[in-house]
Amino acid sequence: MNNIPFISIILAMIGSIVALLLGKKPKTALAMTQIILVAIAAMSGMMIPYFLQNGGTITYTLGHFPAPWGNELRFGLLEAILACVFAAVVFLAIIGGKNGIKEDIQSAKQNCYCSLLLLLMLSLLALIYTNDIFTAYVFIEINTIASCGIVMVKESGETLKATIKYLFMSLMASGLFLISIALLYSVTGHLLIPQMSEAIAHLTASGTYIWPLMAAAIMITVSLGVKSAMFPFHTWLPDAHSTATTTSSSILSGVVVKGYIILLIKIYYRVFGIETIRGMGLLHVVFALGIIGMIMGSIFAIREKNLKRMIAYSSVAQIGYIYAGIGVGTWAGLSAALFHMIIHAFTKPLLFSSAGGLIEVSGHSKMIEDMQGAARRNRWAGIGFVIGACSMVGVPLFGGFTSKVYLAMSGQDKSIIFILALALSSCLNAIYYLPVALKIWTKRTEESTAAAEGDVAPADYAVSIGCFSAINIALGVGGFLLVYMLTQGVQIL
Amino acid sequence: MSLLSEDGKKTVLSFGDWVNANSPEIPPEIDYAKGGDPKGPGAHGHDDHGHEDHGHEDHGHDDHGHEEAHGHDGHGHDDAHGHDAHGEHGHEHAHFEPHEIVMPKREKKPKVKREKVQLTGVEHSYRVFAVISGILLALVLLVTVATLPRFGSADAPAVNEVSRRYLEQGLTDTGAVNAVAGIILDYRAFDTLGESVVLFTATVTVIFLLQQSKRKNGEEKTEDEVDVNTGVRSLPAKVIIGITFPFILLYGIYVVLNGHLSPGGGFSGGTILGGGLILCHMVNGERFTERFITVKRCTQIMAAGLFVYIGLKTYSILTGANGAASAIPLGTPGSIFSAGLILPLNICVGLVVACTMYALYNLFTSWRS
Repeated sequence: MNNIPFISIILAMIGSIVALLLGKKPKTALAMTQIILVAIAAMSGMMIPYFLQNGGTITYTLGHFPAPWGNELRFGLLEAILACVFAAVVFLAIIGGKNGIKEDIQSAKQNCYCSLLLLLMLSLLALIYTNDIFTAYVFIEINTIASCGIVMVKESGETLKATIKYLFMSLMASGLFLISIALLYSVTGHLLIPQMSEAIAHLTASGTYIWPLMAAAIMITVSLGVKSAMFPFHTWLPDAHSTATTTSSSILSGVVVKGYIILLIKIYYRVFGIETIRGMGLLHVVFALGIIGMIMGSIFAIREKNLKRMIAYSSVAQIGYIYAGIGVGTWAGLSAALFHMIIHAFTKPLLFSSAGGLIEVSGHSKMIEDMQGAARRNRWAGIGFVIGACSMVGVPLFGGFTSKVYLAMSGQDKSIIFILALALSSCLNAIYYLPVALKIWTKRTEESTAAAEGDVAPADYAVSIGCFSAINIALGVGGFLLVYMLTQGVQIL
Repeated sequence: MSLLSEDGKKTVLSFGDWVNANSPEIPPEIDYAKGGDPKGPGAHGHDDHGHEDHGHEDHGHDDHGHEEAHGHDGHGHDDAHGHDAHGEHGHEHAHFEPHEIVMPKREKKPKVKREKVQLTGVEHSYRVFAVISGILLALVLLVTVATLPRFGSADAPAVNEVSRRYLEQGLTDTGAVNAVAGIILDYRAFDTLGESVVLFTATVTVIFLLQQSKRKNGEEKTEDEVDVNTGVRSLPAKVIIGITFPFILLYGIYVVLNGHLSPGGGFSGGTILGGGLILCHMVNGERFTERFITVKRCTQIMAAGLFVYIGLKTYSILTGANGAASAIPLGTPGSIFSAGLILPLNICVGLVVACTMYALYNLFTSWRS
């Protein structure tokens, strides 16, 4: 049990190297990637019942030297759930976008793509599990490079442009994070989170080095905000997420931005302590940016005529929900935010996979106006899109509804603005999602139905859409169980 | 570079042209490439072949360092663009010659008067905002640095039990005379494993971006392709690199192997090895270096190095975390076979670093549209 996180990281690492060497056999590389992801999801899943029974956390020394000297991993219920969810989402995103991978990437380069996916997975795992802030930085670097890599795989002009934009913003954010680590190290003398947190508690109690601490907290918020597309720093997201191949879009929006949010939560709660962050006023800023993002993301999405860009802007709004939940600053708010994050991690890949399917049967046009009747040509994509849209809008029985209810309940203590913004944003979501959902099911007038039902989706695709949809509805109906686990998980954060 | 435009039509564009055409910050009607003074060859002392377009293209890139669309253009790329956009002529310039990186011709660069670029209000405000936020960030950082504890002072918070143990017990803990090697490859070896994987990730990404699936071996070589394959035409350079190349490699190997005993180690030694290979490639060309190292070989060596690193470290981490003692002896401090796993780990890191450097250089210079 103790070794599972380390073994899953190493497994992904070995897999990524083997995938690179499998240049001549892209199919083997892809199959191996899937097997490794399933293995990671299963192993992480095994930890959940263990932690539910025994509670607490495990600190895992990486090597022969204990805490202040060597590296450490630390994990409990929350980390186990997140690792399991992330690996599952990446796996489902791969099988949901297989057609896209085959079409968009030269077969000689598909092994590189598998390698990058596994590198991304291992960096996310390390971000979830790490107990050392410098280890977090190292794996942020891997994450940044690998995610830029999976954006540009399509090798068209627009993806290269989106990649450059993403790379520049992301690297600036990495730089800010590194500077913050340097500041924190020079005033605390530690890099491991528990020791650093202790030192920060002493410093804030005695009132020394407040300015560097504050600068570091602000810069970390900005840097992880840029990387996770918090509202005013979201400008890279629509380009990167909408131009990439389907699997990349799903993974980027489903898990990559979430990895950074989790790191930010860890830093707020475990490094600085939430009271210190509250004292600096940062929680209010995060809350306000979250609220503005909720509204503005939806407004941007309404203006979009391009389906994938619309879904990408919707991510900006959904990330706003998560940040607003974090900004509430209570355990309830945090667990609601994490719950929404997991819902979004299952919904957005569903929407992107469905959009990929719809685009394929609409003459490869991403424009919404060309999609009339597309769902009739690829029924799985149509069903998936409707379920995803209902979840994002917040129709009861779907995941998004449950998470919004929990967010609203947690927001009662904070301010009425949160509830109003939630209501407004949900209405805006409906304005852009529902017309598309209706349009794709509307028959084309000039075409007979018989001619339209040509394309049959591959079995993999159906499995992916089916799993995503089923999980979505399951979380919508039985979400309280997950929220219960998350509430337990965050309390021992 | 051939790019698929949105309607799926295959269009051939240079990267610079393409960025210009697509960058939202630049109005499309302004062509930076042609933006120079249209006086022609007279203005371009070095361009005695009279390729106005070509000359302007280069100047467009050079003079617009401040223009963000060009900010990412490294020198090597710059030339590739010039070549790309004007593939029909200008081969005499031998623009792919690796020694171009020194840019000897640039000294004669004449001052070219530029037209004022018209900016809309929004673009102006973006620039003003960017400058202001940059200055603000710099000021905040300066003030912050001023409040930090003095560097090297004895009562700074960073002087604590952590650094004390690294320095005082490092030798007995890790067996490495070089404390830095002990920290990065034993105390905090997981971070270093991550760093090696960063290099690996970078290589995979660049291979992904630049590797051509099939080298057109059967096709006739164009003139500059021959140039890049045979290196520079300067005899002294070839003689000098012929003499120094073995010593550079030897020194790199020494720094890697001696990493646990003296300053140096895998990262610095690997950089020396990689630098030596790059020099050799620059001077003697790919024809020469591909006899002993290719990008494919590089990835294989990297993979082998990382496998060994992962294997050794997995052993040490699993034993350490589960409370078992490591069976690897630390040896006598100071002798070459000492410090447990640090020597093999240094070799792995050195191989990974050297191969990353060489593979990146090779991929960037041998890239053809």
